[in-house]
Amino acid sequence: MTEELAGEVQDVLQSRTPAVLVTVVASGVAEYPAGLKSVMHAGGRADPELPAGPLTEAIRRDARQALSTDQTRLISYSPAGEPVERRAAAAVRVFLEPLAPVDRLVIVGAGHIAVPICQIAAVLGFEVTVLDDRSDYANAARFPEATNVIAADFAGSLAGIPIDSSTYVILVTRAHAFDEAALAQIATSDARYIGMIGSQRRVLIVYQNLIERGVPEAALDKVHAPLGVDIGSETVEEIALAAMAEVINVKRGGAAKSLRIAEWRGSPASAGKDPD
Amino acid sequence: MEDLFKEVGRRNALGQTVAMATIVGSRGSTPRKAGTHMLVFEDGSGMGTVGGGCVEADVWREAAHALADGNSRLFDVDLVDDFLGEGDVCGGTVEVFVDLWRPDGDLA
Repeated sequence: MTEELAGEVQDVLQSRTPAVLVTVVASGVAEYPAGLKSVMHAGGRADPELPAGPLTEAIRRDARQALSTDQTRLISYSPAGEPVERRAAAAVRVFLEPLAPVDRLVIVGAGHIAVPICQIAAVLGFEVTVLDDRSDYANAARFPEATNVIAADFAGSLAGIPIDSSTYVILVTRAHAFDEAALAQIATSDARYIGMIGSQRRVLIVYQNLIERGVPEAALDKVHAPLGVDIGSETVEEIALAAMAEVINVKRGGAAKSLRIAEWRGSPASAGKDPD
Repeated sequence: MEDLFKEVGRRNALGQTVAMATIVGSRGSTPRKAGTHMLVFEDGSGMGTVGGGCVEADVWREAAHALADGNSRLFDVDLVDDFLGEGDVCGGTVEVFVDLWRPDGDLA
């Protein structure tokens, strides 16, 4: 009876609540049959509840770890909850999957560059919010792929958007004063990525002003500016592509380089390595 | 991910059972990583991908079997290359769990 569980998973994802989907994928123990599933919350509550005992406690502990590292785990346990080899007799193999909410992209500034950024981000599966204080720019007709388009002053709009570790922010307003104010507001947030457009000169002015305003240097040093992977972009569409490539590079922990066969052929890694 | 579970819920509400294939582990070079899902429905359609090509065909067949016999299953898929026959372009193996998500009230 998993219809209810599917609803629970949806609730967790929509409310962006930290939780792990626990699935028994193979089992030699009757109380933990293959296909047994539960949503385990950050506080330790499992819904539906798993059988009480050391095995569930071990799962609870490892689920917490999967959540904190945001990594899936496939673990084999003995009936007593000890980790064992995957082929051990009576082993219970459990797959732990952190329920990752949809990634959100907040585009601050609805000018010409924001349009292709929004389009590319939507294709990549981001839930996009666009904001600007000019309603002739920030409107749904201009950003049909965006989930939210907010036409109001930057500070107020930004304050109303919860910025969590699945949120990416791109600052592309029409003037560095707006970028500066927005960055001051979000520099120390949990945002997974903050990118700001501008020449190095413009970026430095913003940086120095914010240091003077007391924004921590460590927070500012993490900002990606001038934003975008260096692919020689010239047009706004190319700059948008470079910006989103940088976002994906951060999201996936990539190395953002271009490989030719000669650069990796014959290296040990090409023999096949296990990234997991 | 949200879309997939939404679709599971929607299909369940219509009384349909959904097979969910999940990559639970991988060895070697593989196109998709652990946690990737694909859905297969009773009407033969599906949603999502676990990597395309030969992997997808194997997973699809197992999912169809699961819908037919009502049992979940765990299996390995070797990513061998059909074109080269003996060849091994991806070079990896994925371990896949196919599970059934059933409507409420279905005790089967």
